[in-house]
Amino acid sequence: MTTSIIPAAPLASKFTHAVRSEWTKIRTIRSTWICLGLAVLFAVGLSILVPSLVAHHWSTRSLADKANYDPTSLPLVGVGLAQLVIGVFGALVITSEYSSGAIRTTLAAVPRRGILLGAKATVLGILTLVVAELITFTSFLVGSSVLLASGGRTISGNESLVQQLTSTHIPVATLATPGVAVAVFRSGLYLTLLILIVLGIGFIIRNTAGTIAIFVALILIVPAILGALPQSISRPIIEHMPSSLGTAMGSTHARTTDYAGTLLNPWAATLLMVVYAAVVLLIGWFMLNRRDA
Amino acid sequence: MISVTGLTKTYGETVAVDDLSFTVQPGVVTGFLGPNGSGKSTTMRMILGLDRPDDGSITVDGKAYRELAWPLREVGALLDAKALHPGRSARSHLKSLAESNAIDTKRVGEVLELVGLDSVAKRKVGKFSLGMGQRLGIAAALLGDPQILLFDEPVNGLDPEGILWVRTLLQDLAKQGKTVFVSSHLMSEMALTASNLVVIGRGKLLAETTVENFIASRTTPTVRVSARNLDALDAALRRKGASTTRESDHLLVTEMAQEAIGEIALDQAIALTELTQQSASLEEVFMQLTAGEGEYESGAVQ
Repeated sequence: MTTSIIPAAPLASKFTHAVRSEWTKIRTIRSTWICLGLAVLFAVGLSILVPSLVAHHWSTRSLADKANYDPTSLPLVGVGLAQLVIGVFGALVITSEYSSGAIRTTLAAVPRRGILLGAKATVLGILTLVVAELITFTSFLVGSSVLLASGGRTISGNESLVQQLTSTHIPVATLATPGVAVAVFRSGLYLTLLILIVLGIGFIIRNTAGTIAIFVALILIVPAILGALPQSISRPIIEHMPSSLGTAMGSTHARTTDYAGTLLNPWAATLLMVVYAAVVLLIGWFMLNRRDA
Repeated sequence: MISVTGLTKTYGETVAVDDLSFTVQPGVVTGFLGPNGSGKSTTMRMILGLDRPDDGSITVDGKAYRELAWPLREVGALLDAKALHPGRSARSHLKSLAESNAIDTKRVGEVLELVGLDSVAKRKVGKFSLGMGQRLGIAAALLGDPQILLFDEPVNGLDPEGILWVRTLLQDLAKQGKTVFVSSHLMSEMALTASNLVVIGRGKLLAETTVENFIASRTTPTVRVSARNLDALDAALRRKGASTTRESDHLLVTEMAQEAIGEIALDQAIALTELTQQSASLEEVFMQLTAGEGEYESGAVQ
């Protein structure tokens, strides 16, 4: 009988090696860079298009529209489109392993399920955070430059609502405006937490089409259906759904309004997204541990 | 060493593995035989901790697979050669595996050379042929230089040269003192490669023995003999206590050695045209043993 000469490995060491392996895996697949490149392109593209249209029609907008206007959120409008590409990427990272059978090779190499899931979430989370912050800061800078070029005027952040309503020039925020830089950062954090939720769903569903379907339903379809219901029913639900939390996180307003109703406080929204991601990943880990690969 | 004790696994109504117990010893190639659907792959997946047994236990060198410090350095496995991401290159695939188990990434180049894939190391594995995929799977199994190796149908898709290469490789690994466990539904292949056998049918253990004993214990030594005067020879052999079966132009003789038959023929002045020791093939023994144990049985052509 052979005696094992392999020294025992502490969990931390297993985890760092699993992280290194997952990083090699994610960066050596072309679809990673296609998805992330598309996310940047869509976000920045939309952040040029929409602000120029809004600025153009500013003088003819209703008072309600002007009251709802958020100079931080508008240049971040492209994040709404980027989140779809980001979600598909998050799904593929895990479901492509299931569709190809590679998950069995992965689990034979890293049989501790918690370490594997943790390493995947860490690598995906850090990579997405870097790209998402690139997306949000670029979108914001490009979008607000478009607003300024379209007749907008920089605000100090101390203006009253009345000033915003009566202004003939569309108000434009800068990163120096109080609360703006952190809101732009939070917006990138939203994309990161969102992709971790999708990763968790992917570990539960294990199928690309199913995971993407659930993600799209969560982001687009369910809010649209709820929007058709009486506001007294739909509003409390919608404001706790990820897409509304994303809007709230990218806003400086403590309590602003959205098309469907109120938004949560930006930090409360952040916390709720963290809780969602943690819960979904925990369920994913639980199922990964119990099910046959 | 691999120890399997009372292993049971059901999928819904189907019992894939039924109270299976065996051990796989180091230093020899152990063949894992069974018809398709007999539970070989399921057992191998459970050894690697991929599927959870409903009952029973498996240890590799005394430990459960999930408890191994760096599994790839203790157990190398080729289960499904296609179980990898098609968009990744062979080198990146092996590099990620090496990193996950704290294996020096220099080993990646070494194993690629060993299996003869160094020239296509940068090509996407989705473009690999079945044979190249098998070689890559073998490279992955050898990456951590483990003491225990599992191969599920390793010669599938290989050309004759590749088959010979795998056969030699498995025997070399066993000679180095490693535990080598190879599944196959090709008995002829196992007869050439393995020394020990674990035979299963419908998830149950049918035999755990050496290849020699497996054949010897289940077949009667038979001699095939022909002569110009077959009737006279038949009568002479029967008189001396042999059992014979008359075929069209020859006799099948049991309960008498080849030498004795030759001497009787000489005594009777009968000229023999053939005198051959028949050795039953592993294939035949296996077919007898597993008759009715396969999941799918083919009927006769109508």
